Amino acid sequence: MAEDQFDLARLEPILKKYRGQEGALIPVLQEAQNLYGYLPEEVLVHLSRGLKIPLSRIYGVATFYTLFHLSPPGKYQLELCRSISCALCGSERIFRALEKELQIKRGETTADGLFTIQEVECLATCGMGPVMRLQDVIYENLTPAKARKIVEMLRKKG
Amino acid sequence: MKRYLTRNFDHPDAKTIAGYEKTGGYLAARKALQMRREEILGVVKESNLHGRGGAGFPVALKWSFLPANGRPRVLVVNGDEGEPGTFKDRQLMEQDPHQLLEGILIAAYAIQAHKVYIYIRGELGAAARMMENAIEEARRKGYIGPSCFGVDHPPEVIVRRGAGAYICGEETALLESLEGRQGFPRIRPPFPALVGAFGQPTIIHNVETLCALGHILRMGGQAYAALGTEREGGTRIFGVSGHVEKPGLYELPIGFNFGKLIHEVAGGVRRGKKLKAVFPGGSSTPVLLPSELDCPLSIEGVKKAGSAIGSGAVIAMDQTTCMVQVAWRLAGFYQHESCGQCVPCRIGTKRLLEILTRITRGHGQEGDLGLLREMGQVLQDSSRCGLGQTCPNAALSTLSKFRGEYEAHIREKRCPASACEALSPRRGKSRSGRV
Repeated sequence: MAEDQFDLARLEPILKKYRGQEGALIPVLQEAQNLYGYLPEEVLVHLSRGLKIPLSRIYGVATFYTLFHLSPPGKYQLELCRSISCALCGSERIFRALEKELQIKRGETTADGLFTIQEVECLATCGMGPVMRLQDVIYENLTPAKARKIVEMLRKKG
Repeated sequence: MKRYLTRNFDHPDAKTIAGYEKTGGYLAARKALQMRREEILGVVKESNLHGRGGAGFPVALKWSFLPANGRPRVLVVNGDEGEPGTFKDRQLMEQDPHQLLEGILIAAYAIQAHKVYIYIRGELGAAARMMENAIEEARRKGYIGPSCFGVDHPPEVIVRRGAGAYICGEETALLESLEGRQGFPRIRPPFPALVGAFGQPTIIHNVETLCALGHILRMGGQAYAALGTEREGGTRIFGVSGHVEKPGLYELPIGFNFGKLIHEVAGGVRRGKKLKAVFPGGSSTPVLLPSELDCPLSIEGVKKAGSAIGSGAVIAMDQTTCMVQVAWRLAGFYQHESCGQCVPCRIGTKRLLEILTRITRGHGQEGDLGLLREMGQVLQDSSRCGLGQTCPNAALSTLSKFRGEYEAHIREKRCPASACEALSPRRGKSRSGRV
């Protein structure tokens, strides 16, 4: 891990912005995660001191919500919906196509750290299933071919 | 049919404040903020507006629970859309953010809220950005800020994003999350109207509910009420997904015929197949059979048919669907999303999933169905919040309506829909694909 990734001074503007605001722990963690890509232990300890919130409570919150990561995830997280409407429209075929294409199972990350296949629940796009979310973009009406194309495009981008 | 809530969906200009105002936007807020608060309450009461998030509580009645003790009040907008099958609020926020903001300004004024929190599901980044832009535009125009339409003490409007927890759509779990904690539902009473966000009296509304307010003020309470049924006014958005020809969002007057929605509006079952069952209001409502769909789409109508209208999320399933597998998939969802606070839900969702996994894999045992029913009942009776209380509905309703299918899985190790791979004659090659 490069040292500058844990440059804790980068947290100061966030702490300053939210200090004294009621119930701001979740937005603080969100912004911290945006900085580092995940929430390393050092960052949680630093935030605990800065916000005067016990580390145990911060850890509880960070592990309760699925969008917080305590270890670095793959660069591209393919979040595929496993929920009922997408399933009725064939999401299992998309899962299998991606597993085959990337040679990993759902929940795993490729050896090069590029891709993670994540099973997620309903993405509120049920009329356009199957759907996949990637960095705030939701891809709709997926087919295995379309999913493979997205992977190809990301591979080229690296 | 005239559309109100979705009228700007094919009108991309309306996403900006200038475009929205060209469609008559903010006239209702302008009008409302000159009215006395009791007058607004009267109009909303006349309109027969019920909440659109799932519980269907009358809006005017909810407001009337606020205590008159002078404590600062909070308005919370529930944009934590996450019930499987529900996809209306995301579109309302992305396609027409000012419609929601106008409704927020009206409600905040009517209930005298000093603060508004818009809580948007973490996964819906685009919706959050649209709302933030809309707020910024409104601020620049002076609609949010010190002299908004000439009103003293206008509210502060804050967007908060969730962080990935379905339970936070439950209103008291949402409040916990707003306060920076795990989303553990609270015990009621006290209800949020008395002790809500940060201990202050709080009114929580679904996105769609607030979007209706502008229309109600514009056309008057009675005209809005006349759109719907005798007890429930207006239009609402039905999200149809699953095995229909034309899945999508359809805004219809309340009381519209359920069967017609599926067979005509949504184009009927796709590829000429036969309808098998329908979730009428999201995955936590009991399934209905095709023969039970000749009912009005209203809280009362769907209740009489034996289910609940919930969030208006209609999930249609055709004859190739294995109902045991549907129940198994949803059990997995609720097991994952149970917050783990109360014992019946923490343990019950796990056991429910285990039983259903067993049955779909061909390891079902005699007695499993009784156990399933008992477990479902315990969850319904003793869970702390709506998640645990409604999560066994899929299993219990499919068990009572498709018992033969469950029995075939257990006794004959056979999946009548040929959908369960472990029970398929050609292992690994199911005919209709897994649910």
